[in-house]
Amino acid sequence: MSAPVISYVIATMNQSFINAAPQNDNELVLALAANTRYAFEIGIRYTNANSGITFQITFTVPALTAFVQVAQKCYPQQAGTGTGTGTPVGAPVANCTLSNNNNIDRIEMIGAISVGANAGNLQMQCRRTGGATDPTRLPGSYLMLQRL
Amino acid sequence: MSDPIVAGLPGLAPAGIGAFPGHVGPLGGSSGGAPPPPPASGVNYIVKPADQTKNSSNVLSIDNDLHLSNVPIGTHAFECWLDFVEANSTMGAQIGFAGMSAVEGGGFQFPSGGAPSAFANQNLTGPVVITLSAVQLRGGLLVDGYFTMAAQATFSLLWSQAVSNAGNLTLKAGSWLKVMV
Repeated sequence: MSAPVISYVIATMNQSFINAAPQNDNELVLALAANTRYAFEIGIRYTNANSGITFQITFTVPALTAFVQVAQKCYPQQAGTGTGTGTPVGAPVANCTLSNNNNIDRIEMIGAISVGANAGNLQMQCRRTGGATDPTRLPGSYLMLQRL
Repeated sequence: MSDPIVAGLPGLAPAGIGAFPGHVGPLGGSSGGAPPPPPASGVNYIVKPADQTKNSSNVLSIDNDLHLSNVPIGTHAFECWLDFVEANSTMGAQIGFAGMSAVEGGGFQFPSGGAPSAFANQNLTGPVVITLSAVQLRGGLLVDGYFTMAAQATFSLLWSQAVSNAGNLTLKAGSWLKVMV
């Protein structure tokens, strides 16, 4: 049996995200090879100075790529439960409302990616809706791909 | 986290694989002593090779196997699956973690024959009490989150009986810990 081929990236710095359009994460991006299938695992850790913020993530992928989100969890720290909704590509995939000031919340996702003829990147993007301040994605957040 | 990647990988993925090769340790100093070991790096999986039992104590203590040495300074993601069996229904289990300056996370417990339940984001330094099934006497626990190391050290799982009892609480072989460094 051959060893699995795994690639991953772990964020090492804070990054804040402004309102409106999704904004590229400066660190959470991984290369995708053409005509290749991957399983993915994503863990995002974030916080905000105010309550009432909805933190959303989405991804850009090469053309002709299928992105199948299998499961998602959201852990607002105070409430202890959460839900995520949305369309996997082209729209925010995770909606997680920060429960209180300065709490650290988490989003986790697993799924699969099938890349077509075009190589490119799995690029995470974030944005916020509501609230008055920018949420911050924290170090330790990661993307991981296993080539299938 | 339900995790098909991890489910297929324990034992297959050696430490240090991935985009980042292992760090190069510092050179030996003028003292002539051996250089300190390099920090852990990569997607690290530790799988418990044999059952371990504890009894007659409800004081958290380090697991024999589920720990990672030389974890560098910084914030790191972790995940673990713990498969407990209790000899009687009066003891239960509790867990915690050691070696870090902070740890946050949550997860699910799966009592055999019972309904899964979630536990919230919280400080996991412990003890976090786990209710095992009173019928089947066996329960799984899936925990994930993040921890922060203030200095390079060992990150460890702690566990014990929730209520001290002369019967054995067993953490089964195959339980695992994943740490991304």
